Amino acid sequence: MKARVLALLVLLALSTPGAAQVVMEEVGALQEAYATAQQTYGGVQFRQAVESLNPLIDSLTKWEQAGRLQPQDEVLLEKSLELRGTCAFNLGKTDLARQDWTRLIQLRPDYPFTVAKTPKILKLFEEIRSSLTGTIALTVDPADAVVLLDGRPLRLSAGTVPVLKGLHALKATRPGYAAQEREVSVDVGASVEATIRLVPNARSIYFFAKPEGAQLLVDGKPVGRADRPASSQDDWSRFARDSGAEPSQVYVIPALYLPPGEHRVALVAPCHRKREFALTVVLDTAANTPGFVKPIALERRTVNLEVVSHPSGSQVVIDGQVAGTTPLNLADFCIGSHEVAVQKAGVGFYKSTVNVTEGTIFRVDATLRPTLLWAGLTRDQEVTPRQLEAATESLAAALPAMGQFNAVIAQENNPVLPDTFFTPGVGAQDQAAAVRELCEKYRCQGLLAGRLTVDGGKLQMALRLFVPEFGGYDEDEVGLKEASQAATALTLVDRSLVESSVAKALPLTDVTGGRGPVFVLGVADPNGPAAGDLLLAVGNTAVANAAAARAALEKPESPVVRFLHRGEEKTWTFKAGSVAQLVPYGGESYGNRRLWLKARQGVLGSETPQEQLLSRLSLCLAELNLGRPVEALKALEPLRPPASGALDVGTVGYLRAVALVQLGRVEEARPLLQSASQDAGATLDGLGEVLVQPLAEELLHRLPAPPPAPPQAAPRG
Amino acid sequence: MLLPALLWPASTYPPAPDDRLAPQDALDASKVALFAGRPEQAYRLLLLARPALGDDPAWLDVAARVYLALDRPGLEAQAFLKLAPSDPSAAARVKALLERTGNGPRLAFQPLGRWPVLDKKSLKPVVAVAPGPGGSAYLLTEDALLTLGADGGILKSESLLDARDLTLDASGVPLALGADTVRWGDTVVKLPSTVSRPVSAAPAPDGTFFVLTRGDQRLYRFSRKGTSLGSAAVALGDPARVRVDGAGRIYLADRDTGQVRLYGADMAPVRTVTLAQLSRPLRRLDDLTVDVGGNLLAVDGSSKEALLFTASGQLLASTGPALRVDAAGWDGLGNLLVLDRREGIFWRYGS
Repeated sequence: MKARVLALLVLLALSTPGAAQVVMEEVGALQEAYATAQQTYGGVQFRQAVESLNPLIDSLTKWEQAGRLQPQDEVLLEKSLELRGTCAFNLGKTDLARQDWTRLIQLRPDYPFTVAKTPKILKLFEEIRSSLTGTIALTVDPADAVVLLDGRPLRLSAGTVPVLKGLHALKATRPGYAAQEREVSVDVGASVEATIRLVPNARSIYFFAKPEGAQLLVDGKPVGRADRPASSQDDWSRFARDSGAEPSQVYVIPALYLPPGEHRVALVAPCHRKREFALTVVLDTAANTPGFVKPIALERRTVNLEVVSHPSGSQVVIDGQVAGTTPLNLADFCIGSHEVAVQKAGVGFYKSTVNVTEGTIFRVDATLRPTLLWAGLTRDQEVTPRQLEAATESLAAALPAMGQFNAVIAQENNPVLPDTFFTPGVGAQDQAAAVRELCEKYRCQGLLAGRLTVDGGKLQMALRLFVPEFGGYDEDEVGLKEASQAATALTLVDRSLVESSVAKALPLTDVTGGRGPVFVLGVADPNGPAAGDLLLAVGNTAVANAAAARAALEKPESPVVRFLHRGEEKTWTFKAGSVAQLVPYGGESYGNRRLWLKARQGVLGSETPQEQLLSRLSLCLAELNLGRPVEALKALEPLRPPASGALDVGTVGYLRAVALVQLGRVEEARPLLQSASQDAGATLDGLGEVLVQPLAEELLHRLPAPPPAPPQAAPRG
Repeated sequence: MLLPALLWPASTYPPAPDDRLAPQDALDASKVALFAGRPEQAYRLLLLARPALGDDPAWLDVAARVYLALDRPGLEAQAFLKLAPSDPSAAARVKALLERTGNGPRLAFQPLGRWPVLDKKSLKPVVAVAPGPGGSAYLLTEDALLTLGADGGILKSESLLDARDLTLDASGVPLALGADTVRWGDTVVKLPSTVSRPVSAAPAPDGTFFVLTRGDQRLYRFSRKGTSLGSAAVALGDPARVRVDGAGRIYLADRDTGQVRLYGADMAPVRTVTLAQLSRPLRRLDDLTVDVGGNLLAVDGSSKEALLFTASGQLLASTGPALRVDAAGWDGLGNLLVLDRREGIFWRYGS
């Protein structure tokens, strides 16, 4: 009642604020009037009771005529008519009593008369009811179905129901059954039998499972959890025992009212092997008994988790709990999805959602990596908000999956933050200041922002990478077919420090009329193949052409290569993993900041001389390309390069010399260049495509002549 | 725009921010530096041009020439491999480069068959031969340059008095030298009278040509129109041939010593290679052809053999004593035409 009044109040308050108060007061007054009438009736003051009820019944009658009568008001009206008729009977006014009760029965033919127990009164009331109604002898199966008579729920779903003369609609409903409707015509004094038997259209299935808490999914949707022991209900308990399970040890998950047919069922629990199967639900139209699925015990599955990192000695945090320090071995580790974070103070951070799958050992190899802050995506006017939304969603899903960087998404209450990094009106200094501030706040090493534009009807995505250490930005742009493909742009940034492929590391070709694949460049190792050598076999497999050779070399092992050099058969072990390609100069638009971030991380985290060499050379190249020769020299300072090879002492000497020449320290550079100009094998890229020797020779040639040697002091005397 | 990168002493690679050239400017400057005899500088500029132009045929063409000048046949082959989709001859160049490094399997000249026989009388005055396109051939007789069809019939005859040398330019167009005339395709250049007893002439990749003289032992350079571009003295025992490779480097063959002197495009000496067989220098180095990798095909007038050497002088293959080689013409790739004047036959050879 209160809720209805409140709803009415709200409704009226919106239209006529004054009327709301009136209605509430009126309803309260009617209730009070009925209560007063009941009291005076109890005190055998029938006249006063009638006086209390008259205005009440008048008001409710008006509401009824106005169509405002709510079910609760109807109940009040029925009770009031019952009471006033009883008072009238007691006052000897039988006609008035008959009048009220006639109206009451018209309102509610099955009204249960309760206000008085006097046989005379009951007899008169039933006489009136009999003169106005017939009956429906109702039988409904199942008995707990909800039955509606002319749209109003019946209090009973079985037995004899008095109804006014005429045609009546019966409807029976129950979950798990198809609803049924029928019409019944009843005459005064007649009794009509009506039987409704509902037919099941679904079936409830009870799954018995272990362990407690296992989740049931039917057709991919979660249905429930195993949280009620079978021992809590007799039939469950019996079934569990009959199935050979201890009822207190298995748990029941009801899947109510599953439609007939095949369903995909999955039971999952952390640390346990997922069970999936198909279940065909068949209806029990006769008894509609629930189906019980025999107890399913999920198998517990764990692995030995190994976490290694570069560098080692890093702290491992799994699912928010500190687990130890790398290299870390955790026995009996649960399969499933886990958040793994690896960090080392002052060095870096690695974070990933790892899906630990079954097996004896699961290995997480974490290379600590720089963290980028995603400042968001902006758009030009031709890009629709829907496109922006789709692109943002695509990026949000892909950012955490970047392989080379950790991603943090900015949580700034500033909708124009991404514009800061693209709007021409924002000066470079302001941008740099914003980058510094945000990177300090989010503990990131770089900031990434994106912009969607439409150029010539084509969608373009630009990414800018800012690094707080220096101004400017790297910018990469890619065309998109759809905004939802925006994540593909991340591949422009998410690239490893050094890249290589077998085809690049060991280029081979077929020559017309040749006897097999021929090495095009050869390798820096003097024991390895040279340009023009004939490749005979990779491992034990003879290779007939370059394509077959490349396929054989792609295999992860380090194959022994057999080749013909100057008429002599030789062997050499190819180690694909040790080959790396650096980019000495990628042009004005090359991502030197990306390279710088990765290289600096590599310098901090590298543990082997080869890693250290690659990282420091990359850092030096990035510094030179960013116009910082002093820092380039620093990057090379502690380096101990190998004496020979593609990236050797000649490479490092040449790069030192470049930095020194850029700083005007020519005489320090000269001996380094003289040495590098003798090194025919040294390269800047590691793959032999950017040679040190001619570069060193040329730079040496262009240096100003060395200062004359100081004159020897003439011997005295 | 080109000046700072070419001349500024502090220009480095990787370049300082103030020292960067647009890729096309860098490529143009690279070509200029290469034909000016500065291959190392050309190399740096080539690398500067690479980020944007690295797979461009123009970049690859310059790159191949620079790698030739740097004696890096592998890199040169790689450039031609990338050119292969747009250049039908690129695959043959790759084969030539990789087969002739001296590293791979031994090479041998394989006879491909006899060419249509000419009568011995008409062969006697033949001074030089060269393979032409589609199985044709060029014959330089004492008084004419003949173009022969694949069936041996004479397609064209161009007079050239007292003819002495025949070679092909990069496009396969013949350049023939007479007593005082150079015929280069359809262009005929009358040499100045100061050019004393010319013995050999060769086209250069920049469109100029060189003439080597025996009289005053000088090397002259002319534009295609015949304008003199200067000369330099050469000190050879018996000047035999001048040849120029794709990088503009100049090869001078000395008949007496069997030596080939290699000069940069700026005439700075690079090296001297002694062509030798069984450790003995060739006794009479009559003819010389240079291929795409700087490898040398020599005709020894004494042993009547054609011999293929690497750029450093390693003997790769010989036609051997079974065949008498009076003259040999080579396109630098797979077509070798050998004349046995005594038997009156030509042989086609491949490697």
